[in-house]
Amino acid sequence: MSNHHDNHNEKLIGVLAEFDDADALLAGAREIHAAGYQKLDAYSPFPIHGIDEAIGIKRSILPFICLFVGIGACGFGVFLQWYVNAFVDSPIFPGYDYYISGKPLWSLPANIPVIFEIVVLASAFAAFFGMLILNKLPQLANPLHRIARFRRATNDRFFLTIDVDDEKFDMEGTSNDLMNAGATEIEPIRIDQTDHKLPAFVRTIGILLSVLLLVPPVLVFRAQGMTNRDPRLHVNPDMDFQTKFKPQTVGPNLMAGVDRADPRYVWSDVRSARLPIDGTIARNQLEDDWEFFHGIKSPVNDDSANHDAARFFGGGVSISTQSISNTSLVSAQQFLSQETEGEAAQDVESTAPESEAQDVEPQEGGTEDLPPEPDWVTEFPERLAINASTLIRGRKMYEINCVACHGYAGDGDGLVNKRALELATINRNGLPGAEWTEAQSFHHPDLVAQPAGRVFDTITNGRATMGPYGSRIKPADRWAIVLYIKALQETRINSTEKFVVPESTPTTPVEEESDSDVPATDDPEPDDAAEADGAANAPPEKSDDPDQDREPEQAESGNGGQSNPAAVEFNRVKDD
Amino acid sequence: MHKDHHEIKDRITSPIYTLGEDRNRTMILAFAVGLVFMGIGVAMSLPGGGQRFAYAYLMNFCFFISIALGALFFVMSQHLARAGWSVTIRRIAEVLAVCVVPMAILFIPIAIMVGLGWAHPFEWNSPSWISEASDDLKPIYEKKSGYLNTGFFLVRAVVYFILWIGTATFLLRNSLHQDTTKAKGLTSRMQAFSAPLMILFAMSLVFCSFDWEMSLAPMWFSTMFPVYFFAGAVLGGLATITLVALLLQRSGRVTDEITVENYHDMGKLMFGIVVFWGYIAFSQFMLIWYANIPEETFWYNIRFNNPTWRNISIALLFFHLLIPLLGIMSRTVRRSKSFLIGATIYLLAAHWLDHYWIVMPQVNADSYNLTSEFWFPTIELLTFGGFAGLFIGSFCFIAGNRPLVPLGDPRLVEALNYKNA
Repeated sequence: MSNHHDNHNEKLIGVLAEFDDADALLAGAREIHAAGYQKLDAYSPFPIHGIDEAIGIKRSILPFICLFVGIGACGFGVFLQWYVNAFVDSPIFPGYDYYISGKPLWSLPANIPVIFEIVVLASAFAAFFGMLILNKLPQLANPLHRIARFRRATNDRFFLTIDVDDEKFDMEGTSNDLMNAGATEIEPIRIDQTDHKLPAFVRTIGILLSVLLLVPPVLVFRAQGMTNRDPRLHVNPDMDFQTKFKPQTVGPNLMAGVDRADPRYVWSDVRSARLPIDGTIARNQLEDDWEFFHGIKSPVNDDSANHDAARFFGGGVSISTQSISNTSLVSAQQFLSQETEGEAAQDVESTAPESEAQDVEPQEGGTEDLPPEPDWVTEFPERLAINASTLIRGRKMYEINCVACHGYAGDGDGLVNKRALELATINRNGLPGAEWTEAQSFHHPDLVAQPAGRVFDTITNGRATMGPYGSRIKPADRWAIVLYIKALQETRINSTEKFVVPESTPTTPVEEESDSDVPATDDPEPDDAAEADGAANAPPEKSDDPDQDREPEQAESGNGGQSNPAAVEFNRVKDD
Repeated sequence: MHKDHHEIKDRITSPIYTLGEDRNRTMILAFAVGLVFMGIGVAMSLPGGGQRFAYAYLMNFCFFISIALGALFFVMSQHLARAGWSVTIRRIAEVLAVCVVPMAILFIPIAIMVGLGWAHPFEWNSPSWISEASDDLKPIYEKKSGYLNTGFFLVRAVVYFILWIGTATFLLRNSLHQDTTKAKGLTSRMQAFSAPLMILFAMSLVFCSFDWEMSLAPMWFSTMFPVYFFAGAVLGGLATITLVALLLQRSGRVTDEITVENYHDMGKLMFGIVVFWGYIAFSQFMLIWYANIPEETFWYNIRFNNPTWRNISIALLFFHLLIPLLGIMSRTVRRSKSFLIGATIYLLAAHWLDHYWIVMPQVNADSYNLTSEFWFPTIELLTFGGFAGLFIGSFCFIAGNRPLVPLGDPRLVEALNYKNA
């Protein structure tokens, strides 16, 4: 035996018995257990069936730990989502009332996946850490490892231990019992009781570090209710300010310190790239029919390529080549001048009047601040087949693209608009609400008076908060929407004189995917045809399709026009 | 050494390990009861034009074929996993799997209904299906009718049955052959064939679920549905295998071979499949609910916005998922034979309700008001009685005097001495 025994600091904690094989261990364990020993443990290189019963190990409570942790996690998952998303009225730390995908704030089906994941995670942790704790792991040292012969427990020897706390334990008697039960060797297990306390300074440093670790959360917590007007820190300026140009800009994101006269960065006219050669037309962009593609009667100078460039820079509509170059140049220089603080201000002043003086006709209703209006078309272009199927197409495209803000009846009561207005009026935590320009009601007299070309232009290029839809909707479909909007407006004016939808016009279809291949006169789908025909006289009613979740109030507001402020205002204007 | 504690069992010790003398009596009784119930079901629904019976027949057909297919899946999966523990219980599953043969015969009425062009239960089988479609949807109807048409439907059904009958009889015949020859090669053979057959089985299961249940709403889209059908089928198969084993033991057969350890494992599998079913059912529901696209939601719209079906939908959530989830979670329950009899009958009832919920709301799905008559499934239960009688009778017929334990399986000794850790 080893010299550990001489150390008076050691304490006996049990006895170890060695067996030759698994059967001997199993039989011996049964015998010892039958003899009344309770605190047994067995060690073997491989699992032995039946050893649990032989040494009287009760079934683990781990499954129940998992079960109750899982149930607790389920409750926590429910609470977490309710609190974070639905408990808006909380006095402290109110939840974020985000409406996601049109679902209610508190909506169990959407919450179940999160609850499920939390339950799985918590149960897995409970199983893993519970197993470790129940096995008293991790253990830095086990007294058994001090016994040389025990090393073979992972190889070819089988061991049984009896704890010193066992009621029947008595070193000599127990050893005899073990030998009688088939053990080949007996050895006492001793633990070294030398003091293993950590040095005091380690503990001090540990406590200090733990306290310091609390500082960042405290700072984060404090910053939560603060406002800060400093620009944010740029941890990685290379990413945030790249030395690159976007097409046809002056490169507003040039890094400070770059020499603006450097020819590598800016052309002499401060553009980042050359303009296309006069008359260049990009692929699929041959838009020679101005009425059809722009809603404008033939321009003075037909230059569609520069027309787009003008939009990009000028905001307003300028048509002649000359004015476009100037306007864009002016905008570019204005931009530059903001950065260089007045460096180019002189040039701006000298060129600006020149652009305004160009040959755009002033519009009647135009105010001083707004750029002059172009010559909008008032009739629909000839290429557009004005018939029921175009109107159906218009309604379809309107419902896809416009309804969200403008509402089914064009009252400006779409869900997005409502919600945005709601957000704009909320003033939470002293912060102002979002900015939002209300979607217009199409039944406002100003809008009713707008020429068709102007409506088309609004769809194409956007106005105020409304974004441009030109890239998303084909021109023929945009015209179909204009037709549908005009029809909607007509329903409120209660007059059929101004605007009549012909039953069927034998014109060529203008675009491929429309329903124009269906003859308008004998449309086999009675619903749509009836609605389309009635659209000029009556507001669109709730669809018969039960699956489409439309709000009934929209249909009502279409009929009565009383439920929404814009419509009320409109009525008043009419009375006047 | 104390050998008495772990003596190795190496042979069958049960006094009776076949159906024995009771077989003929049970078979005739079951067939008679089945035919009587079926007859009452037909008679009761005739005043209403037999429409409801057509649906009830299809629903119960799907329920029982799913049990047979679940058993077939169990046998193949055990071969593929080279499972030793399940050998003693496998013969019951093999016999249940061969019940696809009587199910093929019971498919004939459905084939006649479809072949004669009756519009119910399958809406797509009506000639006016496409012509009544709205113009927007007509191209989709026309594309769908390339798959959903009378001829192809019947051809597919024949292909499924050929595949299933071939697989099931192959597995049972080889297993029976092994009883006498004790040839180990047969086990390798069954294992080798199980792999490609499992792939074909999976494909046939997908398409049969499309054909027989999903096409009741021909314009519905859900790629999750076959998995849902599969989960239910495996649950039904496992529950039936366990129930048959328990009943056989209760009547004094195969008492020594099928042990608590087998039941414990079957319980584990059933528990796992219950969770799997819930996972799949919820996945299917949540994706459709969240996307909220009318083409998909209408199927759930019927089941959640009609008061009768809403109650059944909620009942399904509790009876098919939450109650069994907690009910068979415990080891004690899984190891108690008397409790398991109740649990398996319960699970089969829940599985039956599942098929009721899939099929029956499609009766007059367009007019919600008519569906309130489904609060109690009278005709469906009568039809169930009919199918159950015929199914039990078929089981007795196939089992015959054959051993209910694979006597010659090389892993039999492993199974006889199997113990859960």
